[in-house]
Amino acid sequence: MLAAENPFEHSDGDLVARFNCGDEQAFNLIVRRYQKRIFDLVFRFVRDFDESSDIAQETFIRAHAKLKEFRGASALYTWLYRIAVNLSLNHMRKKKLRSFFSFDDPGVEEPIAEGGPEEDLAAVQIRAQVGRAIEKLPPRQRSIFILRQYERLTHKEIAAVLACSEGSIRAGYFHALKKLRAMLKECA
Amino acid sequence: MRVRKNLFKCREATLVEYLDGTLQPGAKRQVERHVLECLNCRKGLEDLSSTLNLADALLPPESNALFSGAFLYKVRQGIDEGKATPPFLNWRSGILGGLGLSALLLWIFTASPVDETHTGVFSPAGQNMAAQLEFVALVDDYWLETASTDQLLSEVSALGESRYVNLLEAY
Repeated sequence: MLAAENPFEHSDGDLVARFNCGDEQAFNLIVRRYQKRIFDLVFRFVRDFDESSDIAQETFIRAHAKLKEFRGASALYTWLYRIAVNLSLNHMRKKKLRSFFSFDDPGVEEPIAEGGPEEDLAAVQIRAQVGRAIEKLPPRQRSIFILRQYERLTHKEIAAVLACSEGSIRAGYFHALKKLRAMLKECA
Repeated sequence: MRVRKNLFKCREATLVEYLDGTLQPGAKRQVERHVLECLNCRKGLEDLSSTLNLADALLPPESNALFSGAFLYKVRQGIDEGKATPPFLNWRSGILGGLGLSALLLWIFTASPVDETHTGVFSPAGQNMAAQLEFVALVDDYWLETASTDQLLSEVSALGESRYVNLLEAY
């Protein structure tokens, strides 16, 4: 039965081919296969559960509209990451614009991933500080750092996601780490 | 020898590559030998390493509840809603939005002064909140979907209001 299909037992290529033949269930399997990874990636940028969820959903909605144009020049997840990164950066820019025009209260701290109530306050504060430091990185460096540090993508994969050279990925990662070190010095 | 020279020349970049695990085995061994005898590099390596450890503390939330059928349901709902929108509405609303934005910008620039003492915040005097929100929504759409930052700036520059150009550039 289709509903019981395991999303991880098919290759991306098979699922894309099935979708291109009109099998919508194949797209559902793609969603189930990548939803957690895409959500986690978006959350690294946005740091808000509901907003991350919305953007992750939007990523798949956009992917559905464009999947027929996907030619397999890169891996499917690289392609999905690219959509998710662009949507996340756009969302953050929009948010910054709104706060610049003073309609969002800039004094309110965004919530970050919380542990249980017993969690050490210092750990929560450190996480908030790390989140803010990453947020202060320029968009490209932030993307490179997140994709390398958290998603463990290779330089080649990151270059495919961000459509730039591997050399610029190396340089971007170096500068991102240097900036983070400066910003987190007191924290360490 | 060449790697050793480079190590001194661009020490930090080499240390970052070492931590990143992208150095060749030979260069990696050389870094390991070098930090044993160089206090600066050892300190630098410790600093970078503790930064990465701190960064690792930023965990994504537990999201089991999210990844039930609800997520897929919302995606499918979004896809269906997208299909229900006739394509001509997209470009038509874009044009209408652009015209609306131009009119609104013109109205704001000719009718209301900016509070220049309030740095970094756009607060045209005498406008109600609804109009301001509409303005922001239109700028959002214009900027993010219809045009680039440069286009937006040139559009605003063409209106001859340097105060607003400065505000947008500051942003």
